[in-house]
Amino acid sequence: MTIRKITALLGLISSVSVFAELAPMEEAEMESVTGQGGVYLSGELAFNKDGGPLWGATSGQFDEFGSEKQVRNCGTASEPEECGIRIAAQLDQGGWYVLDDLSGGFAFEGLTLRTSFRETALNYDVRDASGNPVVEAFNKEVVEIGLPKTVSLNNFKFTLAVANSGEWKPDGTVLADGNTFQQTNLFGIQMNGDITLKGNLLLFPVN
Amino acid sequence: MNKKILCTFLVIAPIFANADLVALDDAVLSNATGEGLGIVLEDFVFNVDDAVTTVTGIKSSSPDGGITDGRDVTVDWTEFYVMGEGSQNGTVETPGQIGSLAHPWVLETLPGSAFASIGDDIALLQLRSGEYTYALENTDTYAKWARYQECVYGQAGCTNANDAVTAMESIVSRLTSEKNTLEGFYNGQMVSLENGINSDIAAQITPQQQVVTTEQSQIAPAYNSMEAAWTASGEGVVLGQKYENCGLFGTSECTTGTKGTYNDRVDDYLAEVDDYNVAERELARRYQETLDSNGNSLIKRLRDYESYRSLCGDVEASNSCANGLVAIREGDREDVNNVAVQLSAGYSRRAGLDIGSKFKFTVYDEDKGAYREDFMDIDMKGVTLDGSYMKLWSRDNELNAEFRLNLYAKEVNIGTCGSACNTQALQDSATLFMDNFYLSLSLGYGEVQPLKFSVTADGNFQLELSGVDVTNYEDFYDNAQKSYLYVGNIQLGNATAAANSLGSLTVDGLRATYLKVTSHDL
Repeated sequence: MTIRKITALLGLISSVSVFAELAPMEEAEMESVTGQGGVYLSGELAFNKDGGPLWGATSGQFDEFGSEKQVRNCGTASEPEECGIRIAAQLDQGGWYVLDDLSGGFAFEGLTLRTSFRETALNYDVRDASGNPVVEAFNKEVVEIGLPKTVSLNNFKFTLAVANSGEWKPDGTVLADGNTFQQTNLFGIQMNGDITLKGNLLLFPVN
Repeated sequence: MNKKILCTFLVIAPIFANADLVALDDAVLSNATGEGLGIVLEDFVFNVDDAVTTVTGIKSSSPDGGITDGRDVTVDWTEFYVMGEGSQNGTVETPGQIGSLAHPWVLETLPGSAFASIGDDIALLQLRSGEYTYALENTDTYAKWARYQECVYGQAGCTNANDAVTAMESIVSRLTSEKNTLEGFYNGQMVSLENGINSDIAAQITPQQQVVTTEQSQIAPAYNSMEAAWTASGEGVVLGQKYENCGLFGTSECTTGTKGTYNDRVDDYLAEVDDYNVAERELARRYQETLDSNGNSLIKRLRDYESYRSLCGDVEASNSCANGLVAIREGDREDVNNVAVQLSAGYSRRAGLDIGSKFKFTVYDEDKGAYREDFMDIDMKGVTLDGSYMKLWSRDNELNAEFRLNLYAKEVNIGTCGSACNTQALQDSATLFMDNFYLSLSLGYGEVQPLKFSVTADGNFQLELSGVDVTNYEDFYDNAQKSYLYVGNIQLGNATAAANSLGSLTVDGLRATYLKVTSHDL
């Protein structure tokens, strides 16, 4: 029997609108106030912090429905560790690219999202008399994502791998096509601590 | 089996400013085709600071007593930064610009028809870095200038941008004078030279080469017969030597029986070798003594012809010299001049990025029977990347790509010493300094030679560059991008000691006709 459960956590952030006395606005005025809104985001994301529902690091572990979990240990024999999320993609008819054992968490404060109107841009291909890049009209609305300055990582880890099956199988499992399950781990990354991430990411349409 | 998916959704609802909707006129609409998404990172700083990053899953070939196939190599990634130029190896937080409003990075979808080498029936996704046409800003042009300049502009002793022009002109004038000397020697009749060589080769060399080939082919059978006869004779002498004293009463046994046969085979073999040598000598004589009407030997004419071909590419009546080294160097002239003029006028190039990483490897040392620590510290200063791109498309359910990376760095410094090197002098002594580093790496050429990433059915990663064959090789050799690597100056250890300089490095015009890389699980 297949039981699927989706636990979804929705964080909905709406901004507060300020209601002052309502008065009709001129078209020109209206145009000048576009893109003044913004969103300030703080968040914490955690993946599989306490292990997922599919696999247990040691044998004899049961999920909440009483079924025994498959044994998959992402730690060592002496220090078993739960495995993180596995995401696999097949881009052609061959094998799979796998982002495996994705777990841990990251938190940030102060990600801003707003639009801003940029009137000018520096054109480095044209120089003025004194050799500086000329300032030319840009006049476009751009999406401006202010990066959060600090991102805290808490045991955030993942492994990049390639495999001949999207699903993880215990060693020696023979697949439907007759091959034995094979996964080649390219490398894994594990991060802990605070990293600095500053700046503005600007997005806008170009022709 | 139970399947559960734990999802965390974060939904962001921004405010929409509802202004009065105005009909767009044609002119405005035509500007807003939305072909691509411009991406700019302004005032960007990325630094892992004190965060500890560990790279796992890498094993050494050193066995650990059969427990596993190899020992783990622990890689601690203790430093990683991307920031603006002038960050002093990432220690001073300096905002960097990745793209700008007028020169953004662009993510776009394009029809295959936009590129001659890609079929019209497909669409492709392209990510490209900013583009600059101004010589000083364009990475490819600037790197070309830097290659002749050798030193890093603005640093001590490197303030004359015209040094590159002088260096380039001296190369061009040397090559031009070599070309002029050759043309003068043959009175400008380079086509006659080519024709004369061709007719001499057809009349004199080719027939004699056939003789040499025939004679050469007769040596091996003669040797085999000799060896067989030698075995039959009881191997009483060294192979190749003849039996001299045979029997009690003179040498009759040396002319009859198995020994006699062997001696005859030795004579046959030596005769074949002799014939071959005679043929080779005759061939050499023909090269030396086949003269043209002015008394120039064929071998001299051939050497001159080869030099001329490398200088000028093709031989033609007008002596246009359009495709050789002279033309390539002269082609650099405009770009190098432009950059030199702009720099000399005091114009400055936009600031690049500083990118660096530091790794600590904990590796098992079999000789010592213990783990040891190795370090690698890479710092790149003043990096610009414009002109790079990646195209992705799908053909027959396979992911195909074409890739180009243009990476110029004023300096690339690779240190191999950890905390033990606690002074600048010690650190310098274990560092490889590279100035004016420019890598232009091109992989793949449209659908003629797509770069394919795939995973094999047995779960291994595979990267393949193939597809050049008899039907498309001309297109490939005429149009496929080449790869370049220039390093203006390579220095090992202390940067001020001239004796430590290893000179410059140039890898020019590299193209892979076939490449296949497959991972293997050990």
